[in-house]
Amino acid sequence: MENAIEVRGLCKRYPGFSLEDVNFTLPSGCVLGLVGENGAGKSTIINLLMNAVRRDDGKVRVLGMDPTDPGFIRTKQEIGVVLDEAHFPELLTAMDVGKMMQSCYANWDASLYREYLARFDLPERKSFKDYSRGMRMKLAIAVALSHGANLLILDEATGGLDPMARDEMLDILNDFTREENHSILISSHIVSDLEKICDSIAFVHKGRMLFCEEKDRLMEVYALLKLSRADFEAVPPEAVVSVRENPYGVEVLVHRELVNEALTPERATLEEIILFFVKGADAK
Amino acid sequence: MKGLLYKDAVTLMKQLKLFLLMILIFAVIPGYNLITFALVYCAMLPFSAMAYDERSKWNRLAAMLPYSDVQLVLCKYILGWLSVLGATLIAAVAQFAVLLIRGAQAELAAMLLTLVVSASASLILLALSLPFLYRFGVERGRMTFIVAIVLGVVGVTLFTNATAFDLNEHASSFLVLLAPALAVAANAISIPVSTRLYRRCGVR
Repeated sequence: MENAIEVRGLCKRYPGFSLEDVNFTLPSGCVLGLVGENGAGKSTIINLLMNAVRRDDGKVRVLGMDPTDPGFIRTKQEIGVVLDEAHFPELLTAMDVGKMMQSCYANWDASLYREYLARFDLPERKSFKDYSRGMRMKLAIAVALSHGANLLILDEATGGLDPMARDEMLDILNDFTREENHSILISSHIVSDLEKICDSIAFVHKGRMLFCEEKDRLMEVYALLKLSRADFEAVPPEAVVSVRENPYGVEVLVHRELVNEALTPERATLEEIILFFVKGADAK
Repeated sequence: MKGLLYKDAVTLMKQLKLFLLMILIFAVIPGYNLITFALVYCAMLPFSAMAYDERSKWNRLAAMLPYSDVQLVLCKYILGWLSVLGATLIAAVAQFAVLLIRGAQAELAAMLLTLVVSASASLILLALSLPFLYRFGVERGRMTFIVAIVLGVVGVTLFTNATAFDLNEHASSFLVLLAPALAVAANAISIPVSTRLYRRCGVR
């Protein structure tokens, strides 16, 4: 299977922030969720993947092409991007945006675009400035899905949507991945959304990638223990990922295979795994 | 680049109806000073387009589109060139009609000289200003346009006073060739400079 995205040793340094040694792979046909708090470096990674900013070090290939290669402009035709805000000019209507994008993308499908506008209930002749945040994001997603993209890159795209719209969006993304060469890289704060659609999860914290694993494997590998402080002494230190203390005892994220089943390890949710990893990384 | 130009054209037409009407009126009213105003205003249209881009943070989205940095920068120059060219053509037709009605065909050469020099000066101002706009943003960069106009007017005044410059037929022919050549050279230098600054300043 070819990879839609390959990132090795990616670095970008700004005054006061640096992204260091980021590694991950998005196999073709899969969905990779990029998780991390605000300022962790998710948007920087997306900017580097699209060559919106120049990397300082590392190797990147997107749909088989290095983004710094001049030919990457052609590859961009196959990539649909939705940023955390839509950024269309305020006075343009959805129809204007469609006409503009028709000239940008060789494979623009005007009838599909209008279908999405109707499906998302977006008025065609209303100015973009009069759209709600949810409507703006839906317009951006309609654009990203209307030019025959093989790779979707979504940066907090579900952030401004109500739960119904988010659910609809996830259905659309699921439909998109039915084609075996269609892949998605999605960054989000809403871990429950990622849990629904992602095959793998990459977690970025303060410019470092703490893990990139298949979602199911994360659930298998890690488990949660709820213990008294006395019982915690019996947990092998090498099994402990991170510890959270509370008035009744401790909660411990552990490597499941390294602890005794008698301690009754519980299944950890993705959100719990991430929170424990953050706590563990901050404690170091 | 058609898509980028379409976006700017639609935005400007919706936002600056009065401004565009003013340019049109200045271009067709008899009087060469007003034509110069109209053409200089046209050279400022890319600045307005860039201001709207800044407001919507368009450059973040533009960086994701299948365009190179050169194309993203070049489209603002093309917008300026097309605006100046369009206004020049409208002014030429209107002023020619006025000359015909007045039976003053002898003034045709002076009219053409005014149009060529004004259009060229507008394009030079555009070429001087755009790199500063890419470097400092629209608000601060726009000041260079005003400074360039003031320096240009002062320079021409000092030159004509110091040399007792006589705009005879020979000098006119020279100006008609020199002004467009300077405009072409200024834009040819300005585009790579703007592209480099656009890259350096990154996604705003």
